[in-house]
Amino acid sequence: MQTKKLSEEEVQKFMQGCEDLMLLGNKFTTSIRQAVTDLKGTYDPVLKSQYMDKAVVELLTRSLQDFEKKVEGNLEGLDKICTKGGKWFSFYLGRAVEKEFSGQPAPGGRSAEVQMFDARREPTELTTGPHPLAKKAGG
Amino acid sequence: MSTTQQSQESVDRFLKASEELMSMGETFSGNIDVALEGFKIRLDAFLKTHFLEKAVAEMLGQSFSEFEREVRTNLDGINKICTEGGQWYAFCFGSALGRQVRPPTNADPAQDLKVKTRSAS
Repeated sequence: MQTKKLSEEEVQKFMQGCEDLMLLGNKFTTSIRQAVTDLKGTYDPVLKSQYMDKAVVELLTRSLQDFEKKVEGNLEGLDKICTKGGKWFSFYLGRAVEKEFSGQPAPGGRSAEVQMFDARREPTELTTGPHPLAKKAGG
Repeated sequence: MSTTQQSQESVDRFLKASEELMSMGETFSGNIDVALEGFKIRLDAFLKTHFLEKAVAEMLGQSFSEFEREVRTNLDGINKICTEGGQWYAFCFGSALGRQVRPPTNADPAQDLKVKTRSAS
């Protein structure tokens, strides 16, 4: 069990780690999007060719569109977690540490340790409730 | 209600929200996995019919295999962020507040993911 509080350096390291992790998340979603684009790049010409029966083309096209829509909906949700969610983590951690370092917030008197979090402003609202995001991305 | 109680509640709320966010990430990634599996089943059925030229079926099949491998590798990475990464958030956030939080089992959270990224991109 961990009982000691994190030092300023450790917090900085964690914040950087948080950011890296969220960037990685974005990178993974971008790679998936690229993979879908590549797949379509192969499938589209074939679907437009004479090598396939018209009914098969229609069915496969619809399946592909349906699949693409589902993937995109869920990737949007993941992107939101990685961008806005990541900012919220930093914001809350920054605020928590600010209280720890400075005690009760004193107007105008902020310590040097606290100032490092100044750039981390409150992010715009993120809908974390299961309804809007999950509904949109429902598989 | 005292300030300490309020701040405790605020921390609990954040930790809960963080957990829910990571769980949502897992759900999204799971949905993609299910969609991929569904598309694979339909595609396999098409590829086995005689409505397609053999060479075309082979090409589409191979193209899909590559796509599937790529997507699954990246989904693994996302899942790792949502599971192990989420545990690290809770641990560091709790520790910053002097709370007793059990550290995640993996000592280096970014190590595995970095390896994955290279193979995933």
